[in-house]
Amino acid sequence: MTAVFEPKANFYTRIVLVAAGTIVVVLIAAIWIVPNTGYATDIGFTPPQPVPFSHQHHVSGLGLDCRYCHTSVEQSADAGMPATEICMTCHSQIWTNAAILAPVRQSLAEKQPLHWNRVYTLPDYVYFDHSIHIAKGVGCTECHGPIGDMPLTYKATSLYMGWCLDCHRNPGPHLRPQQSVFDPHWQRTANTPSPQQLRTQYHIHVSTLTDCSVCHR
Amino acid sequence: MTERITRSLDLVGLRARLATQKGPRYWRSLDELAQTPAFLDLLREEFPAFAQVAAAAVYRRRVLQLMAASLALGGLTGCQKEVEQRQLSPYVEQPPGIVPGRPQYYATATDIDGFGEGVLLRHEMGGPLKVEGNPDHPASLGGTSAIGQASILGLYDPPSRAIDHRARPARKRREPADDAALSAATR
Repeated sequence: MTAVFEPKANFYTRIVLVAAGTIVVVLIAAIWIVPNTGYATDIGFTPPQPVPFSHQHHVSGLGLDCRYCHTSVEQSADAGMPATEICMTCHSQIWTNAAILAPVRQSLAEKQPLHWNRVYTLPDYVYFDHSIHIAKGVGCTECHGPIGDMPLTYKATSLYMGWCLDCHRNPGPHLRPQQSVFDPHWQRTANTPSPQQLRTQYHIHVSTLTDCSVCHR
Repeated sequence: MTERITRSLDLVGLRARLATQKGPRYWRSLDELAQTPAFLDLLREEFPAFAQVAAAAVYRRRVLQLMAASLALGGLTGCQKEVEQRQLSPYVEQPPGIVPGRPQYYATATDIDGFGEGVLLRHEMGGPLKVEGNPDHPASLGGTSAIGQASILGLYDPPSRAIDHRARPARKRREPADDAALSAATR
């Protein structure tokens, strides 16, 4: 009786085994690695803007408070983008002829809004409210990164659900005293109340903070 | 008849053609393989409909392969990143009393068969979101009819509904058909 398999079948078997093993390893690696790449998280994403606004200059340099422009951050889900008027409070007096501010002047003259490109976007099925985070002592930089040092605004965090949950499971280390919430360079010092103290002080109940309906309403 | 066709086959030419072909090639008869004029004539006489199909050179296996590949590749669209760039369009002059992200209510009435139905319209920066009954209205006392609920659709005109409101200026977003009345009331 002749052999069912020719000798070269050995060779093909090895090829197939190695290929199958490689595919499994590559797939697992891809599933773990790709979501953490900058391509997937968009960390560092710096969309072009009508005016190259620098938080570094306005916040760290000039010392403007976040709320001067993002007026509704303490009252509303939306932090709010500054109306053209707000830009023009200062820029009707200084840099009145700067070329890069032409879109702002044009917006005011033509009564047409500026169209800023979103840096942070949440899906519609996620409920997020800026005001409650501010009220409970979560500083701006916890999510927006070193926003006060950004020449151009870029995305600093992934906004993944896992990232949200990291904090919702253990919010203490991300809390700060109320007067420091808007400080772009705040650092924990020896006098800062401990994370546990802050949690108690803000009445944060971690047990319900990870309920589905907290964010998916 | 078959005999006549078979006899007219160019066997040498056929062998030469087969020698150049590789992979699975199927044929229903040597005649079809030969594609002789006589065979094609026969085909046209016997199966007029099939002659068209044969001339188009569409093969069932190929069609199924393409369908399967299309289905499989269709799933790849899910691998694409969201490329839409959303925009934020603040006011030029912030109207007093409007907080971005906070809905507002304004009392109005919908017209049903000539009768007014008192409703509260929830809107965000002028974009109507939801119609509910007005508790202060003596006729409805906070209730709405199905038609009243649906009346919000009347505030949208089809061309502006086709446009993503997020890409539009805040003032103009979801442009209501009765824009003048609404902005007068919300200003």
